[in-house]
This record gives sequence, C-alpha cells and structure tokens, in this order.
Amino acid sequence: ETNLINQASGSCRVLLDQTDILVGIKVEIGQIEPDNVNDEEDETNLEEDDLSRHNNIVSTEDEDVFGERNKGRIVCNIDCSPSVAKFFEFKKIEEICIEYSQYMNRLLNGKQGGIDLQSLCILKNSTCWIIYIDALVLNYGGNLLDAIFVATRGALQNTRIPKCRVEESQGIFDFEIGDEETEIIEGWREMPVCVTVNKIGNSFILDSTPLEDNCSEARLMVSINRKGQICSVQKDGTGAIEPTLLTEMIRSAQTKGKLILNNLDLVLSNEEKRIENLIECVGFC
Amino acid sequence: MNLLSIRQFEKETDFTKKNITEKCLNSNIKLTEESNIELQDLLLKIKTEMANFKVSAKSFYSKKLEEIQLKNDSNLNEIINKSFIAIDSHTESLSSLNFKNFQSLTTHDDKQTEKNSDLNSVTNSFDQFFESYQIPFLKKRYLEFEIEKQNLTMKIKKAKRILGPDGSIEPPYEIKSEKLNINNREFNRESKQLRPLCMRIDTIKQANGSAYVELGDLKVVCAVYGPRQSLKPGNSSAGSLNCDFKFAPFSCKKRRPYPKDTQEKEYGLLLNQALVPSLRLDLLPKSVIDIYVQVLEADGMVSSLAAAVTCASLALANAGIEMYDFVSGASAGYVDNSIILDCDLSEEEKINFNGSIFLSYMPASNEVTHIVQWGEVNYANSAKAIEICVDACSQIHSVMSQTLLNSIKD
Repeated sequence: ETNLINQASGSCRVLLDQTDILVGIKVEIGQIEPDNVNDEEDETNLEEDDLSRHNNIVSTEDEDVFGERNKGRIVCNIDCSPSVAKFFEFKKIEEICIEYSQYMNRLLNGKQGGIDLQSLCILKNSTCWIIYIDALVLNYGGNLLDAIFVATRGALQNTRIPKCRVEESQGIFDFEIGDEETEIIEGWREMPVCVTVNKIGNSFILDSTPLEDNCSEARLMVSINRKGQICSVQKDGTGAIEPTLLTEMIRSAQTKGKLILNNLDLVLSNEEKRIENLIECVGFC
Repeated sequence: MNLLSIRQFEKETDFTKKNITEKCLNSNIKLTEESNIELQDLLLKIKTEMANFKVSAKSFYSKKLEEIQLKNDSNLNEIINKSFIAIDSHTESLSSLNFKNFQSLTTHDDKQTEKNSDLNSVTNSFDQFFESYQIPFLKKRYLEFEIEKQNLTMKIKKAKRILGPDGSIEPPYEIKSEKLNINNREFNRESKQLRPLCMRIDTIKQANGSAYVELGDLKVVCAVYGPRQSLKPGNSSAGSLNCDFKFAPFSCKKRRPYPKDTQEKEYGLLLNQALVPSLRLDLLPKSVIDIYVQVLEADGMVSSLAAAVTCASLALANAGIEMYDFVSGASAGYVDNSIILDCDLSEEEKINFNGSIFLSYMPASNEVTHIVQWGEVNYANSAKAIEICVDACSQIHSVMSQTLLNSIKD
C-alpha cells in the first residue's frame, strides 16, 4: 500500500508473508557536495552502534565538460525494529543494515539506479534536492532486501517533490518552492528490483523463509531493471559459489526479476487509481 | 615544585616579613633573647628554603623550558639567572645585615628614629630581596608559558587544513570529459591484461603474518594477528575472522580522515565474506584472527579491494593458518559495451565507465567466494565478465604460490 504517511513525501508498505517493511521518503533541499570518484565519504563521525543516516556523495561523475555539478543525490538508510532482534544478535543486525544500506546507496546513486539525478538539481553547483529513503523493518520473515526494494519502488512512485521555480535577477539565481504544485520523481520507473538467490548445497532457491536463510551458505543479491539489464550483483554470506552455478543464479534472477517488475507495476497503477478515487486504505490495522 | 608551592612559599615569606616587622613594632624597645633566637631561626629558615628553591626552581624551569621548546628564549634565561644571583646575594646579605640591625635595635633603644630607620632599612632590604626574587614575575612568565602551550596544542588539535570561508565551494579536482578508449590504455595494456604484479611476504616482523602487494601503482599492505584468544564470552565452536580495512589518509585523491567511514566498514565486511570460505576456522575454536589491511596508494577503488583480498590471503598463509587454498581477487570494468580488466583510477574516472565488477576466487575448489558488481549491464556481458575475472584470479593465484615458495627457499 502506498501513501500511508501524510508527513512523508512518499511512503509504501509491503507485507511479504511475515516480512513487513515500511519505506518513507522525504525530500529536502541541500548543498551539492564536491564529487568524489567512486567514493562514499562520511561527513560525520560514525560510531559502531550508530544507525542514523549516513550522508553519501554522488559516486559517479557528471558529463558536463566544464566539470559542473548538477546532480542531486539519494541517501538510503535501513533500520530494524527490535522485533528483528529475536532472529539475529545485535552486531549481525547492524552489519546487515550497513550492508544493505550501502548496496542501495551504490545502486540508486548511479546511472543504473534509473532515477534522473540531474532533474533533482535546482541551482548548478550549489543546491539540489536530496531524497532520503528510510526503510523500517517492522517484522522479519525472510527475503528482506527484495521486500525493501519493492517498497522503495512503490514509495518512489508515490513521492511528490514540490515544484521549484528558478528566477534570475542581476546574475544572481534564486529559487522559490511552490506550496501546492508538485511533480513526480523522474525516472522512478527505471528503478531496479532486487531478487535474492540463496545457495543451498549445490542448487539455489528464491524468496527464502528465515529457516531457509539459516541453511543457505551463500546469498546473491541481483538487481534487474525494466529493460532486463542487470544493474547490480553482490554476494553475501560466508560460503563460496562455483562460477557456473553463479551464472545460472544470475540468469534465473533476471527472468524472475522481470516478472516481479511487471506485476509490481500493475499493482502500483491500481494503487494510483485507488488514491485518485479516495478509497481508504487498509492501513496499519 | 609547582605553582602551589611557589604560592605557599610566597605566603610564608610574606608572613615572616610581617611577623618580623610586627614584632619589632609591637614589642618593647628591648628585644629579648628569645625573639633574637626566633629571628635567627627565621632567617636560617629563609636561607635554606631559598637554597632549596633555587635548586628546584632551576631544574623546574629548565624542564618547563624543554617542554615548551623555548630554550632559545634568551630573555628568560637572563631573567632566571639574574634572579638566582640576586637570591644568592640577598641571602647572604640578609643573614648578616638583619642580625646586626636587630642587635643595634636592642642596644640603641632610646633612639626611636634610628630604630625606625633601621626598621625601615630592614623592611627595605626585605622588599629589595623579594623584588629581585622575582617570584611574581617568574610566576607570571610561567603562566604565560602554560597558556602558550595550551594554545599550541589547541591549534594542533583543530583542523590541520585551512578551510575557506563559509559558503565556498571546493573547486573540482579535474575536468573529466574524456572518454576511455579500450585500445588506448596506459602502458599499452590490452583490455584483458593485468597490471604488473609484485608480492612480498613477511614484511611486518611483529605480526604473525604479513604481506605486501603492488598492482601497478596500487599498494596494499596487510598484517595478520592470530589465532589469539577470543575476548567474547561463551563457547564458540569455530574461530572468527575480524577484518579491518582502511585507506591511508594520503592514499586517495581526496584526503581520507582517520575515523573509518561507511565505505571502509563495508569493504571490511566484504573482505570477511571473501576470506572466510577459504579458512579452516573449525580447527580454531574460541579464537579470533585479526586482519588489518591498509591501502597505501589507491589506484582504483575496486581494484584496491581486489588487491586487499589477495594481500590478506597471502598474509594468512604467511601466518600459518590452515586453509583450503588462497583466495585471489580481481576486478574489471564495463566500458561502453566491452569489458576491461583491472582498471586503475584514471580509467575509473572516465565518462563512459559504466560499472565495475569485483570477484574473489578460490582455484582449488573452483569457487567464487565473493562477487560485487554494479553498473547497468546485460546478462551476456555479466557472464563474460565473471569468466574474465576468474581467469585473472587464476593468474594471480600462481604468482601467490610462487611468492610463498620463493620465501621458503630463501
């Protein structure tokens, strides 16, 4: 379900059997940071236990000849509610959160993320929109990252950025944020969806339950976008995968990912109609 | 001797000064023998304390000078020397003078004026003494030194770089508008050719195992400590691996601050995942193996991760930890529609660099221990990239085994 939280610019909730994810998106105006090549630099001193948001800088370079900075950025953060604690110990939860947050950040802040970062720029070299994506894991029932990606995609479809008018007076640029008018985030349709493939023994499964998660020695997180391209692959877990099995896993993830995307788009268009017709959502009950 | 004692001493001397003058004024014209003895005692006390003070003060101030590194402050030296000389002279003069004066006081008791003048002379000499003593002055100087020292340390603690005014934007480091031509790589490298590789082990003597890997300009060093006792309470049936990854502050284009940022923490996690499948941790219960990797020169972000895996695996072997096989790491980049192996920093920065893949591989069991890939790419290219990286890993593996063999021969 989308559009649950009024305060957020966009929101979405996904229930995948027991896994319950709530994603809230807020857009804020911020400074365009100096670019770092393939870099994600932390501006604040992070302690080990600090799960608060990390400020990440756009990792890819823009193609402007004069080296201008005209890209907004996306900051992702994944947080777990205490109910997850009965499945994992504290340090493991923290590691999972950092890993998944980094995975999402890397994915969405590049060209492969699909979202048009240049449209988020307000004034070149100075201000841009920053999209903060915060995912909250309300309950854990396996297959965490898939659900998070589905929810993020839904929330992005739902997000409305206030329209921004740029005025120039005597060479000084100024911008005004409208109150009523809003626009959608360009390129949200191109955002990829993740499929987690678990390796158990000599073969693999998709969409694992917690029990199956415990059995798997290695996990592969594959992101597929609407065109069927593979946007990102990352292995997780302490086991090893043979190269042939690896390519097989990626292949099956790709086919399944496309199916998931098509179905998701159908559901999201239904959601839009529901919101237009002002039908109440089920909500949190 | 510190400020407190200086103050104390001041107080005491002030007190003695007061005491003596008071006694002279309040007492009868005749000074009794007792008071004479008292006076003498006091004077002796002053003298000894002065001597002590001189010695301790000299050492104290010289120490302070060393600390503050203002040895060349000739003014201060002069002052201190003067004061010491004055102290010397005055102690002598005091002891001789005052006793005489007081003796005269006892004899010439009718002559009030004389007595007064003598008294005055006594007090004057005291004043002169304390002036030259220069305790307050020295104390003041000492306080100044302390303040200067604090300021210096504060300055050092603050940012070591000069920041621009608020609202200023950092200039771009480079104008990146070039496209990468896969046929025109630096040093005429082919698209599937690794950079020149160099490995050394046993570079850090204190560690259980260590290794140093150079991949072109990329330099990584790794130290392994362990197996050592795990500090976590409770039994653990298998050992644990603790990987620590750090870019040295000078290694990247932009300075990396000392606290670890999320990228480095993530790379540490990735290292862990890449290395654990190769180690026989079940033979090391209740133990922990610490791996510290530092990148000295990062010529390519993904390739530094790949080199780190290679380096850590070598170091583990050097430490004598049982393992199934080495883990070697390789990285490749996607440019336009083709794949280039082992990209360096200049290639990663190019416009048409679409993404990259990092892979770590264990040839003995033909297993990929870790894979990370980002960038929009179709399945065919992805599969091809995996193949290329696996080949490169096998090449690197042969170099690793050769390095270890050579070290044993030597």
